[in-house]
Amino acid sequence: MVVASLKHNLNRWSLATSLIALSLAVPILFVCSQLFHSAGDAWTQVVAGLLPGYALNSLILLLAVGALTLLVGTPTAWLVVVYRFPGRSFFAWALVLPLALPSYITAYTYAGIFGYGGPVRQGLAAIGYPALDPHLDIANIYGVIGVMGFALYPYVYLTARASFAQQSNAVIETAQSLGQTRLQAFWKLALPLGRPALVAGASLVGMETLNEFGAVKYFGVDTFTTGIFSAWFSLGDSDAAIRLAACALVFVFVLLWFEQAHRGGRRFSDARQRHPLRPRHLTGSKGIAALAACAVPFALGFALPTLQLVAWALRTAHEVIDLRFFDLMWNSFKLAALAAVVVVAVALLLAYTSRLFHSPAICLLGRISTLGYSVPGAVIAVGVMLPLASLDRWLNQAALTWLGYSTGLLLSASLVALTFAYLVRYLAVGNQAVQSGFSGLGAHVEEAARSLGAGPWRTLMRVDLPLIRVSLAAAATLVFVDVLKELPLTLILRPFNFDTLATRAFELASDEEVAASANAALVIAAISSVSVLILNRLMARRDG
Amino acid sequence: MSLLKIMGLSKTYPRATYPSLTDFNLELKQGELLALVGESGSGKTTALRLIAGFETPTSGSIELDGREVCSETTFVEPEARGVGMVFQDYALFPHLRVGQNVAFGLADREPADRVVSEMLELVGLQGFETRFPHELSGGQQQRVAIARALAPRPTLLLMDEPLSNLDAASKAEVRDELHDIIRQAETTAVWVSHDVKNLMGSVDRIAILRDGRLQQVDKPNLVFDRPATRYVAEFFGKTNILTGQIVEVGLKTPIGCLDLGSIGAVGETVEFTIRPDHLSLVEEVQGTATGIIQRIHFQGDYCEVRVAIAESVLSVYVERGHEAEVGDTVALKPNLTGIHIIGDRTPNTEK
Repeated sequence: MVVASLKHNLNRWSLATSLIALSLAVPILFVCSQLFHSAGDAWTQVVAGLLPGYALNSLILLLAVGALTLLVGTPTAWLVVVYRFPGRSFFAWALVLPLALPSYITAYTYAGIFGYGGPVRQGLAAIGYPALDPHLDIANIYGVIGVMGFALYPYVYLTARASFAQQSNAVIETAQSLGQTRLQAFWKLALPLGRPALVAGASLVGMETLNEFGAVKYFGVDTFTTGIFSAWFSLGDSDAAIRLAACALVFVFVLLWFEQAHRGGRRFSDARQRHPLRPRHLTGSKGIAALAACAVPFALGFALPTLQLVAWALRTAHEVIDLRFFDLMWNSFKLAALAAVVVVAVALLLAYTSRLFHSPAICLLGRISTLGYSVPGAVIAVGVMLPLASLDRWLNQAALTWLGYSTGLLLSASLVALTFAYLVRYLAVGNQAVQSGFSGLGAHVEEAARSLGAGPWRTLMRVDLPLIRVSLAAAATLVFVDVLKELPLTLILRPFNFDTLATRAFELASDEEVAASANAALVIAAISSVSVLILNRLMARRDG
Repeated sequence: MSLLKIMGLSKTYPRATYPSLTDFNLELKQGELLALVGESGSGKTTALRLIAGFETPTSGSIELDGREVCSETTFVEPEARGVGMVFQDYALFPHLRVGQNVAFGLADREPADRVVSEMLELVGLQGFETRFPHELSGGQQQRVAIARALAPRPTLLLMDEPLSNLDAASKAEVRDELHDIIRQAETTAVWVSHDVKNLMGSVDRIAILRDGRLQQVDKPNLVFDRPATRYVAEFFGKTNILTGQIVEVGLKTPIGCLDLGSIGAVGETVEFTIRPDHLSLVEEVQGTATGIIQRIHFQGDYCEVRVAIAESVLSVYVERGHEAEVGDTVALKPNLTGIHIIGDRTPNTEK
């Protein structure tokens, strides 16, 4: 049977999938391998001086931002699911909106709001408060924690909301019939039952925290990501950069392990069809309190920063919006669209192949190739750049030897490297949306097509694609927006003189022209809102 | 030559403790309609999926129309096997109209329109070409699925529980229609079901699977009257299973010494079955075994009487209007033609 089984499993589909999945694993494997190489001089300096600081700051940020997002995301999710109060139906989706603002942009706006000449200091000065009070300085780790907490809490809010909505009302109602209040039911039942979801949400927050570059850089907090940047750009020491990346990977793996340990095999949900909890109406002061509890995170995470952006943009648009700005937009859209198409195509291939062959090997490949989502962009960037640079040197040498001309830096200095890196980082996003489309199909339509003489390709084109096109569009939109917002990866891998909205916003903000950066930021935010609302719909459908 | 020849087919799914199918052998003649029955989890769907090519076997081989489609060295993909499949959930393509569904398996060179209307006429759905699947009733969807599977003229038609999603009222009707359609199309077919009573009258042979092992493949009357195993005997309706000892003149049993003639090695203990309708209640006579009526179940057309005799409780069907009552002592008279020694393959002698 080995031969026949091989014949069945070894074909164009599985080969293509294996090749792609393995090449996607190269950057991470390359970075990992650097953990075991002997260190150079620059590295020894970095270890002695900076590594403990990077590690400590990264750890503090992980824990504090995680805690803050849980503190904000969990109660708001509970309020929205179990109670009816003024503004509830608005906040149910509006609480997700902070995800539309990249956290580095939120950071710039708060630096402006609390900065000299900003509304806070001006307001306080008007009532006689010293405008130079150092307590108002937020360019420190506490500032980063606050900004990122309110920028990222929607991850926890989304997973917690889904979990609370899915929980069997029977459990809560039984508790109530045994004399427990809703609040007691929350502590004793809903929270323990929802723990896997909360851990999942907080892990996403953790990954975003490790990935963050713009916000920590702007507030002057050194983390692994900023360390990789300074080793790469300032020291010009790729060896030290990649070793730092390897250390950051250790953090990622611990985080992944923690997440698995706290939800693997312990899924408390039960599969029976359930009714959603009957919502209870909160009126009077309780209703106002619930309204306030939702309004504060919405205001801090979305409304205030957006207002600040609009104010800045109104002031600077006339000097910023010119032909160059449209070039910038075109660059960004082109790149994001390219990445979205590539990611969705690969996600489709991976998902379809794993449906064709129910083989554990293919499933494992799928899981390896989606690992990139948990890895900080800066780490992926160095993991992509160095192997591609070697490949380029080899190609160039080969071309010189055999063809007699130089190919230059064909891959590493072009959009190829950048697109490939986006693929590594965002395949998981596309994969999840595509998988959810496939899982709605059931296996039989494909088998029916096969038994009617359609090969895998015709089955995909004529049966699967028309049936999952909505999911594919959702996947493409999510990836498009993620790429549009992406900063650290793009900064490291973009071709020379190639600017996007995100990198331009970063550069302007770094050059003390933060008001001018608001124009690019607003474009990103407006488009991101679309994707956030799609994400919200997807999650809400899963709740139903 | 047989149309389908399966030899030593076994399948153990990855990470499964037990095989789903063990040493499965089967031959089908052209035009034959076979019912593959068994409880859920007995391996019947696995067998079907192996034949269709949706799974790779752990060992064994399959020949279709003289061509090896699956063996140690060969694996023909499902689309190249020419096997039609009707799924439990119909699996119609929801984005295609009825006509497009039926035409899906037709190669471009064929006059698709004509075949489609022929097929829809065969299943009694003329004029439904432009409907979408969700606009049809369950029974109609079922018939579209049959038409779609038959349109490319498959060598073999496989049906996985095709009636299970229908309500009880339409089940019998659709079953008869299905039977007529398959006969009319002159297709060789395997019909998987767990609801065997409904199928006995419609198929040529019945194969019974239990825990992945084939128990018996025979004509419907033979699996009923001459079951190869105790499991098969009990699978097809109510029966009494007793042990007896072979003696020179026949069989010594709890219901008396049965005059079956010489049936085997004297002294051997055997199991035999006798269905409740082959037993009758008689007046107590000297020398016959007697029992006490424990319970009488009124069943409508007849009554089932449970009689405790020796250490067993036997079921006897009697006409309604009988006079027996719980507690009566009665004797049992077996109809000797209804006695079958389990596993005995010699033809029944007519008495």
